[in-house]
Amino acid sequence: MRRKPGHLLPIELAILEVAIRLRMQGASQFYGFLIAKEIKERQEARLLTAHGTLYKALDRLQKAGLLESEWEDPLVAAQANRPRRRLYWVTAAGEAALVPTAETAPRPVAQPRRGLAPS
Amino acid sequence: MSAALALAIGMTRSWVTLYTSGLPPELRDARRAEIDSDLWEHQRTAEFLDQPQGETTLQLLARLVMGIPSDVTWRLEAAHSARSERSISMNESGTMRSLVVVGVVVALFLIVTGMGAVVDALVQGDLASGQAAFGAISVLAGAAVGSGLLTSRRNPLLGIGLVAAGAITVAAAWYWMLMITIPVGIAMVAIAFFRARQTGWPRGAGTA
Repeated sequence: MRRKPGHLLPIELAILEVAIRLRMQGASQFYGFLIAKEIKERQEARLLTAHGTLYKALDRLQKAGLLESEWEDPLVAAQANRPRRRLYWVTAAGEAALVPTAETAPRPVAQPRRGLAPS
Repeated sequence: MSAALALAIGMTRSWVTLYTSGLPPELRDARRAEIDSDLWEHQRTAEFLDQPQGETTLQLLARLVMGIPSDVTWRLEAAHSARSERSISMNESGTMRSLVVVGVVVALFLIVTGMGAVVDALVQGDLASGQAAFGAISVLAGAAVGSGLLTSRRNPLLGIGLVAAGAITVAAAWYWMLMITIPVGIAMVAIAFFRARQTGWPRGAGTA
């Protein structure tokens, strides 16, 4: 089944939202396992996103121009004694893709504050 | 590292190696390197959090199994893009595509069944029993059949060989179901063979 152009799957939305939140926290780039871990914590899920689901979604987002990526400097990885990470970041188009979703999402109902008497 | 964790990591790497085989080198190497990095980060994070190795093993197996459908569809899309880029004009018939899909579903059934047997043996803490070995053999045979079917067009000899090896292994491992495994195995090899023939093989046109 073909998807409508511009339609984002829940996993793709989750990746973009978490990536933007990470950037607000000072991490402008992310890698696969980090985003899987952040999504798990955010959704309070029991399991991390499956490898196939995660990397296919990252691939689709990149092809759609919503993410970009580059391989980490081999020296950095060698100094940390670990395999190279593929680093992703959200593009301007990626940020823009989230805006319509946020606008159409149901807004939380405001709860009356306790202890405040109506004036 | 426990034997079970090493097995889970090995199974993930083997699966990635299988489903990326036959892809353009840059695509194949990038996916393998990315999964390698993920496995490393997963292990180190689990160690840092003092997570029991059994739990890490189960998480890795779950991530592997639950991602298989996406891996297969990604592989099909990637192979299709690669073929388009290389301007291979010969199109595959709809019937053949349907047969390949049926074959891949059968292969997935073997993989999932095998994974289930391995996970069950892990949960029971009875890795020494034949159940875990039977499960691992089923997974490998299923992976061989699936990847063989997918690569039979691009690399006919390798594809047919993988399917035949997988089918023979299944027939031997599931010997009490020979009445089913032998005809299904022959059908799988036939699909791989006729898929390869569509490219003009064996006259040398099948190696795009």
